[in-house]
Amino acid sequence: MKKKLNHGLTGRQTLKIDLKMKLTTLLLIVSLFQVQANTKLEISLDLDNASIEQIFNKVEEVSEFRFLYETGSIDLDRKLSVKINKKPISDVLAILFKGTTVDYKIHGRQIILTLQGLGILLPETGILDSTANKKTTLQQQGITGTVKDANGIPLPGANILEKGTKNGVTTDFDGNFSITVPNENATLIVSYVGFATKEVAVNGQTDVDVTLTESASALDEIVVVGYGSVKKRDLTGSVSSMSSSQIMEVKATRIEQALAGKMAGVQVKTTSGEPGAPPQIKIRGVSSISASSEPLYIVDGFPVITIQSLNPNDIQSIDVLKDASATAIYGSRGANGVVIITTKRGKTGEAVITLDSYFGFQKIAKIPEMQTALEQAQHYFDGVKNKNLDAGRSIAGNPNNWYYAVPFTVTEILDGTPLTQPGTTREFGDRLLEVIEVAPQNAINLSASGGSERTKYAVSGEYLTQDGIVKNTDYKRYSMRANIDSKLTDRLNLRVNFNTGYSVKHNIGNASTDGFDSPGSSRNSAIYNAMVIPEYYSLYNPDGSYFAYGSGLDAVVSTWNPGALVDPDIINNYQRQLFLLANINLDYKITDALKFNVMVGTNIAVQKGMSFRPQLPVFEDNPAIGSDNASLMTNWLTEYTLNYNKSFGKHSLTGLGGFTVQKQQLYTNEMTSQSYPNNLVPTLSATSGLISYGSSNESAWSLISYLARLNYNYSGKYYLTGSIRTDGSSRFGKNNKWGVFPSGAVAWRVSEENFFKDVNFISELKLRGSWGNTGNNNIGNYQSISTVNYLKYALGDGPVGAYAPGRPANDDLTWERQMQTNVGIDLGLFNNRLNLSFDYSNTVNKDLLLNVNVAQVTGYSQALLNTGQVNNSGFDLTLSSRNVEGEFEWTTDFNISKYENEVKKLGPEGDPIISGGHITQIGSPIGMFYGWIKDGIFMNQAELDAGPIYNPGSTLESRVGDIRFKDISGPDGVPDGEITNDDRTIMGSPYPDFYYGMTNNFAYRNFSLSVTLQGSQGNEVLQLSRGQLANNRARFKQLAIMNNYWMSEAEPGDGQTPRPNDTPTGNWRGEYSTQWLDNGSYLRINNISLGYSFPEVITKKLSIQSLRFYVNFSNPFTFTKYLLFNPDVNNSGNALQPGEERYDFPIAKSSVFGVNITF
Amino acid sequence: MKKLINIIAMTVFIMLMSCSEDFINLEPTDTVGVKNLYLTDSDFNDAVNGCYSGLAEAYITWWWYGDLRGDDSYDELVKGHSDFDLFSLDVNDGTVSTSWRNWYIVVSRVNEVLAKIEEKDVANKDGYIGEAKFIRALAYFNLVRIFGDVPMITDPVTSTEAYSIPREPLGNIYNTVIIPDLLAAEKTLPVTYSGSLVGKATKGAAKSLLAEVYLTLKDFTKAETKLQELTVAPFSYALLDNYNDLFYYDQGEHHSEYIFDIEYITGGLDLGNPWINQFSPKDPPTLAFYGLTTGDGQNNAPFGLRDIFPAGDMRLYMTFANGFTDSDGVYHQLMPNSNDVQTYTRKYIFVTQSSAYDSGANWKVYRYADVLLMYAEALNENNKPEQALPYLNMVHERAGLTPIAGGLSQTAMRDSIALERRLELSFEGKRWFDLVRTGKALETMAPTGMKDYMTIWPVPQNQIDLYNNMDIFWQNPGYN
Repeated sequence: MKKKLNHGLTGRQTLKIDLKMKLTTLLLIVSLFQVQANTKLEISLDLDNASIEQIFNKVEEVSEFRFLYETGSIDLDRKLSVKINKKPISDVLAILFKGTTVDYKIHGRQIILTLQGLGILLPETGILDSTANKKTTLQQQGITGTVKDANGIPLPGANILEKGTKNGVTTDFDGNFSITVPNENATLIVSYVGFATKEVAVNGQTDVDVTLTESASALDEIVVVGYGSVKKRDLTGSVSSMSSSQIMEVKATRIEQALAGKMAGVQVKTTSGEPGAPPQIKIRGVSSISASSEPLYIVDGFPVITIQSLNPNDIQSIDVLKDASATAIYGSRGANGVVIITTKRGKTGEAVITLDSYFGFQKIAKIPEMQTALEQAQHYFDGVKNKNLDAGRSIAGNPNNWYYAVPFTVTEILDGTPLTQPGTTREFGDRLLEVIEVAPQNAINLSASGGSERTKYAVSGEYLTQDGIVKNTDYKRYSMRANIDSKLTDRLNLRVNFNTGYSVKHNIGNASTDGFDSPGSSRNSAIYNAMVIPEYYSLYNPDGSYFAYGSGLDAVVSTWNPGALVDPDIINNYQRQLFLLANINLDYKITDALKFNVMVGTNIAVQKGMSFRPQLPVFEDNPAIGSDNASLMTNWLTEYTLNYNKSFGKHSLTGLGGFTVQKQQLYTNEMTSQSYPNNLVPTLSATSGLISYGSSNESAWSLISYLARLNYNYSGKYYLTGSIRTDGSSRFGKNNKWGVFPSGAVAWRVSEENFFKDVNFISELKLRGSWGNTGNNNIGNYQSISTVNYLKYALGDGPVGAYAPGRPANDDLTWERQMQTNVGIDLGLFNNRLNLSFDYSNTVNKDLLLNVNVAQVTGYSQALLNTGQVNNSGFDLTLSSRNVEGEFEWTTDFNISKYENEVKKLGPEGDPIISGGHITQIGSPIGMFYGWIKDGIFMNQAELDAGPIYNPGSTLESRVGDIRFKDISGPDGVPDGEITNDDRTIMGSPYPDFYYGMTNNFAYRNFSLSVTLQGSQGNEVLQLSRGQLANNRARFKQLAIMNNYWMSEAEPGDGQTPRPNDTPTGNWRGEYSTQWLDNGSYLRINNISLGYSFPEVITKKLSIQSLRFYVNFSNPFTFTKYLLFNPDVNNSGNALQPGEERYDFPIAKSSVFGVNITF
Repeated sequence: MKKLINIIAMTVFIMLMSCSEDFINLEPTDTVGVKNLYLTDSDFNDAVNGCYSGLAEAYITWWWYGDLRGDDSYDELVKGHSDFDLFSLDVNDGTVSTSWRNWYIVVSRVNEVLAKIEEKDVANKDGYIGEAKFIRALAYFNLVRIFGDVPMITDPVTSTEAYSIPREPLGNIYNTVIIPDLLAAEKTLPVTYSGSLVGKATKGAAKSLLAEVYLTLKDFTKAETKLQELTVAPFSYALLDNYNDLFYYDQGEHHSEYIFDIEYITGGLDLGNPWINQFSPKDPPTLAFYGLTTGDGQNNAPFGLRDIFPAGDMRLYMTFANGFTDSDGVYHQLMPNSNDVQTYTRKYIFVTQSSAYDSGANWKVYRYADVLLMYAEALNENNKPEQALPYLNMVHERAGLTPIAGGLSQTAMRDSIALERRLELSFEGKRWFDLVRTGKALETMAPTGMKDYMTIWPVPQNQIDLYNNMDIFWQNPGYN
């Protein structure tokens, strides 16, 4: 145990709370006692004609003693020869100073030298040494201070070293230290495991507070891997880690959000701004076509289904396992990567009580540029005009009387004549602005941790509330955690993790599921309605009630009033969840090398939701509809592992063997009714039991696994890791119940080799290689079994039950197999100031589950088979740099990743899968955009004559001013001058060329600033909303890009925008084409976090340990050409249809102000 | 401590033992595997209901084939519909593809029932077999009329087996499946049902279908025999006094004229059909008049259809409308709107429904007027125009018209019967198939865009791609 000195010169103890003082005193006594014992240490010296200074240095080198003396007071150049064999320090000093005027005193590890007759101030007690007979202090500088992390949490055990000397101390439990330096210009080097070392110039201060920032490059950092942990230097696989301070910097409501832009190979897409909505995470690209590509989450050793209820403040670290050698220990669930979340645990010492609270506002990050009222009216007018011209009708006379009449609304708006049509207004405005709002968010976290040597605790509670930027949406979470560690006996340890939470989420309808052909069914989405309604329609009647956009209005497609859809007095829609995650670990140390561990845990989630939409004219008088759902999920796990850890000389060996069993059961029920007698009561109780749909379902899965792993290293140079897991799963067909998942990895720390010792600028060089086999078992429950579908029919004028086979059996059904090879290099330069980590991986995903089309004469359209193959390769690179050290500190972490997938095999016939505007075909990535290529517009008759023409001879054929598409092919495989389905081709890619993230941390004195950005380059987005917003019929409001359209040969517009047409010709809106694509590249400043920690002089007065204020801006800036809300889209969530937008919930930018206080 | 280790060791041991294969053999508890069904009488009752349920699904779009394709309906509004109407549809058409699937779902459900019931000894075995075979015959009859040659599948098949089953010449399908199935069904099916069984296939339904099959195959002798059987005991079919009562659905649909319907009921049970809203005009005053919230303006009655109705024919009111007369007797013509559709049919409008697109109107597959006109046709084709006349006149007079005078030639009689079928049965899914059956399709529809090969539809391109074997699964000529 290192020596600890308390502050000397102030009376700060009197301000401390009682318990804490007692504890400190107790521990101080213990530590002093140990130091006393240490002074009996025997020292050997053998020096010939050495100076006193040299001798001092030698003593400091071979022992922990440090000499303290006033500069100039001791003759350091005096030479003597000493030969001392195993003598206590007192004897050594007696020899050294025999016959001089130097007095020496041993205080702990400090040897204080004075000239005889001068007194000395003892740093520990602040009182004069009674042996001193003259009251005068040395010129030496006594310095006290505190070392804290960026969040103001004290760091116990940090090292403080006077630069250029061996003079050093460590901090106590509260992060306090006291050191005496010989002069006021000394520089202190402050270091702590896992943090960047910092140099502080004393400059005459007696009070130095030091804030350390965490350093990702520290090789001693502990990395959590499956079923264990290793030091970063010993890692053989590819793992990215993130610490609590990095998580807390981002004021995320969900943990996944904190990962955005932080880790190489981990793509985080914030696809929805809905409060409480999860971002989508993909680790190293897409590895599956139809099974989920979501990673597996492990919370404190427990594989969980959702981490929605976890409190980000509770997280100690997040470690993401990326390569197969790391993930194979999770077997059939490892293929999508594994996210391991470790929560904070108590440390021995007094209670550290922390309050963190913030408050802020969010507003919509971007409002798309749309047509104004006059632009839309003109577009409409011209569209109807063209429709008449196309049909050979006259456009003479009053447009309201044309064969296809221009609506009165449109002519009145254009002419400025009095408005006669219902709902129209001259108070033009973007109706979107009327459904969004500036939304507050607020969080309070209170935590306490501490403990004795025997029992440690970390408990916390959280309240979080976030309103959505769309009215009537919000998310609230209450959660609590208690982590207890107890040493039951010397060999037996108990660990308990208990986490429970309750959340409430209010949502509005969305437009996610419909195809673009049927905008009518999007009416439930407030965003959809608010975006398509022309600026010349009001949301309100003159009396303030909501205007009903029903059938029969002359210039608007029947929509629902978005104001009513976000009115909490009208729409009722919530989901509530109660969540419990608890596990108990017992580990028993059989021998020093062998440990047996048992874990039992459970995860329970209860959900309750409802929705109600009343019958109102604003909803076209559709009958009131309400639903109610509830579910119960129980998941339990038992796990037995045996850990072996032993070093034999230069060989060190770690072994793991285990057996684990997990089972989940899910019970759901749902009811819907349209038989509400009135709009008064939203619950189904009002429907007299007249239910139109009701169902309850049960499902379960179970998993038995055996696992083993061996880590071997020789001398910290050569590493070998092998692991194997066997999974038996209820989800697999009876012919394929068990899967085996092996992996292996090697690493070589070249920098540890002797021949490398001379390469000074390279401090760390490690080469890694791994191979492994994992699986994806997200194939649904019971899919291998032939089951029936329950049906119904009407007989005797009433319903009767019926059934029919639902799917064919597949006894061979099994997990998707992934084989991944990974090579990597870790490089540390200039004493690890610059760290680089590069990984290249190549993945073969075989036996991918596909709903393969089968001949429909079988009665089935599709059957689930393990047949597909997708290869995925790419690299990820992480660069960390401590750019500037010292009082001003600047670190940069940068990462960039590129992953490409290629479909190698599809169903038995290998036929491409075309789904909407996407194609999945052999030789291309999954779900590429598929459609026609726009080739400008037909500017004049000559161009039209040159073709190619859509649907020649029909009323819809291409005309001058219409879009020209590229003639790619025809029925015979060659261009035929006609635009048909044969001309569809790959028209774009939803995948970025690369994605990247960067974090810059700055610290200056008590200020800290962190800026995180994230970007994606080279991908496109399929904007399904263009089915309305750019469909060339101004019945819907159009995007502003539609304004510069072709009017005539003389006024051709921008050459890209076709003439308006109320019945679009040339198949402008019918098929997917490049006209639907938008640029998806972006660079977003994700997060800016600025903090200020109050200096100790102030916190002491407030009798608190630390006080930190911060402001945090999330998504303050996005740089993109993308037209709509947010380029990070994935509306369908279906791997076959990536990169689709459809009236997504807009994302917010937010500013919060917060405070973090540690007591 | 020893004790604790022992406890842990025991627990591990117990876990290892109990977590045998059983632990990971989970069967669903909220549905059953197929192997647990098709055992009891009640199982088969429900399984046969599943076959009817397939019909209900497939018939939702029957009007596209029977009416929209012909000259008595038009719909140029909606892309997809206009493709059917104007003979411009391509091989990827979604409705055609869906119908292909739906009819084969019906076939496969029947095959499953027939395969499973064979060895079982259940009470109503013959009845279930009869119903199943009737349903399969109906499905195949519709399949061959839409697609021509199709794979003939009469047992459950795996997808691997399916790829080697070729499109069978339709003559073989008639002779091997449709006719034998119906001959079996007409023997075992009851004449009527009562109570909660009303709506199932009857002996009369089987005979009616068989008769239409014979007519289609131009086997007029057998057709005449079958149809004659339907006019005598044990059957007691009779025309309703008032034609309009057929479409006032609240008066009951299982009346004396009913032979076989596809049954739909309203009530938010997902057992209704969408026709009332699909076929209503997009005209707010009209919608308000009928108490509807929405109308799609599909399946419109052309003015040409109106013009063939003789004066005084009460059927015109139900068949054709371009406005409505309100309670004050004021006539409101449909507002011409920018989409140019100004007509509709009332045949599906007088039905209660609990919410939009949830109509309880049945689809009439066979009613007695149809049988009478088929009988007249068979008699006339067997050169007995005078014997045909009374049956023609039964239908004609019911419409409030004076009887057609005797003495017509066979040709004149043929024309009269064809016209009567149009007047009587428009919007009931008959017209297009009558045109094809009687060889009049091309001359009638060529002006609309029909070409000679378009008496049948293309088979779905996605299935052609799937078989990828032109020898056994080819596209219909002309659609390549």
